Amino acid sequence: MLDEIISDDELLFRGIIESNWDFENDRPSSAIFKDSKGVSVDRSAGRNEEDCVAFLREKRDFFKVCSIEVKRVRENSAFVLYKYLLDNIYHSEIHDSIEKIQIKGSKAKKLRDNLFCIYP
Amino acid sequence: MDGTRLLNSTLLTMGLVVTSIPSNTVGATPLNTLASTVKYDGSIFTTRFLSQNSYSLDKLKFNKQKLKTYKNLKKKWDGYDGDEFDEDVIHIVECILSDLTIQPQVFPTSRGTIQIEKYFTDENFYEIEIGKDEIFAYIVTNEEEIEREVEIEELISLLSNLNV
Repeated sequence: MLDEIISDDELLFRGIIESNWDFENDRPSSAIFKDSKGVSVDRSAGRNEEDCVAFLREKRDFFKVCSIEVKRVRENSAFVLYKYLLDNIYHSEIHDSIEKIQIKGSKAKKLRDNLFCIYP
Repeated sequence: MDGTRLLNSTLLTMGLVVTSIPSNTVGATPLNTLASTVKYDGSIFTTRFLSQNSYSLDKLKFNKQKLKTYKNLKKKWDGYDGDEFDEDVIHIVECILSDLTIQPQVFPTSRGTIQIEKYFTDENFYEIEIGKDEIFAYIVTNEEEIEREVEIEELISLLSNLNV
């Protein structure tokens, strides 16, 4: 288990499948941020980008991998929660806020706008 | 080349397409009278300008095929904990798409809802999340921003009025 506190300069990584890629605009759809159980991401926790991508792709051969800085998530009033799993100590979640899990509308779009595609 | 094909190929060259032409009425219309409507024998046939965003049966077919594939998605389809899709949600989206002249892109969400979205520009776009119990609209135009739950009828009206 890692430190529960996620710092502003950490990165969060999310694998994207082809169905969620917006080919007209060459970016992910904001649909990736719409999950009632919280948006699953992996925190970097001191690892370099290559290692983070390799770890994510061990589970599934994702079409793309994107990252977002924790600071950007918080600037958009969303909440980052460290929630490790038995098979993934880096697993974390993005929620709408500390009180509400589900992200909708403009907040999902703003988060999408702050994503960087890092793989391939 | 028969009359119908000659008329349609000429119209396509002009950037227009006739959406409805009875086969027994084609062949006698002077092409220089064609504008945004085509008049013949007292009937008025509407036309549409061809552009990147114009009506496309192919895009509608493509979107409907995409929706069909959602029926087969199993739990965790997104590589995470994605939910399966309810047939009712897929049906609602099919109905909405059939009412839209300009086809949006269609995306599945991890909570079993379906998002339709279209970006005309960065200041003129919509993202609509359609679920079994709620349709949530986020529509931005030069004049206004809408972000709330809507009914299907209102949604069609809102999207049809978008300035494109």
